[in-house]
Amino acid sequence: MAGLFHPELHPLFESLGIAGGFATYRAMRARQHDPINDEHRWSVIAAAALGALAGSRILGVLEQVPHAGLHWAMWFTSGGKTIVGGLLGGWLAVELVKLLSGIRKRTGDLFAVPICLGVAIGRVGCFLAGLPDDTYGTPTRLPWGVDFGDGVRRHPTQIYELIFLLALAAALWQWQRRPHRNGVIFRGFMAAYLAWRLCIDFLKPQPLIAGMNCIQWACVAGLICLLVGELRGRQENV
Amino acid sequence: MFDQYKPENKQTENADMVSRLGKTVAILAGVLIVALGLCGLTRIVDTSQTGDSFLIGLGILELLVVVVSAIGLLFITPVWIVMLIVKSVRKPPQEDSENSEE
Repeated sequence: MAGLFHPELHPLFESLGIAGGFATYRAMRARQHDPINDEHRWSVIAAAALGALAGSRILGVLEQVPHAGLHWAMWFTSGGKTIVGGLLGGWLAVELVKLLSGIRKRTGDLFAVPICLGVAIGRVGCFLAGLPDDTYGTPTRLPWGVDFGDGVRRHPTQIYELIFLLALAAALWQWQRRPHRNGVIFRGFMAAYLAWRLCIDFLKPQPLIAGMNCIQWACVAGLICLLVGELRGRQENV
Repeated sequence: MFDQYKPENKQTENADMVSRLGKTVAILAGVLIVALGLCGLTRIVDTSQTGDSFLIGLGILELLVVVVSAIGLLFITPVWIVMLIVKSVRKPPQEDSENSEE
């Protein structure tokens, strides 16, 4: 099975995930009402793309700091990107652009299902990249444990996440077809994904800071922001 | 004849420019990521057929696309951000009402 794993497959599946996610977004936008116009939508997409690029890299590098230290060359080596960083970076950048453009509507609902599908495709690449990708789980004796080439059977956490994301995409799709408050689908997606990562990362052999890894701490920060945003939104509506 | 110098026309011009720059940034970021993925695929194929001149040429072409899109992003992104800030500063407060949450 070791011949199946190839680190170069990871960027290919990353690209396929982004292309698949964007195609899904286009199809959904054609079928559903977009709350903002074309001019603002392109600004939001550009902010999401740049914020995701920066966020995934920053958190990816920070994740390596506990065992590798921080040095400038880390920013230029391949690998070291995280989905959680991408989501939080993209979210932050979109909120900044909305602030600058005077957009007060929630703009993320159309992104929720496409991101789920895009990340699910990307996780296939993480699985096929094997040990160098650092997304594998801790050793296990369970029958579905996978040997990534070092003779140790581990939790295939990438496959767990793939299954979770497909189920989440189906649930969000159903939710989106029913009457809902603007913005609640994206916030639901973020809450579900961050909570999932907070739990599943306990199965990953990553260096810990005060009991959790960097990504889990970022998930906690994201969940607190979502909670504060939700409470503030409710207060404004009252 | 002098309509084009009206402040509202200037604002529309700015909005168009911001929209076009945003679209360019989004497309360049997409091209950069897809080209990086294709570079990985070409490298995998090349390991099984070492020295194939077509694959080397394709790899160089993909790297060129990566470099050009990355340089494009480096130059266009700051311009887009500055234009967004300029637009937000010049925007009259009443325009906000059309964007308010329902």
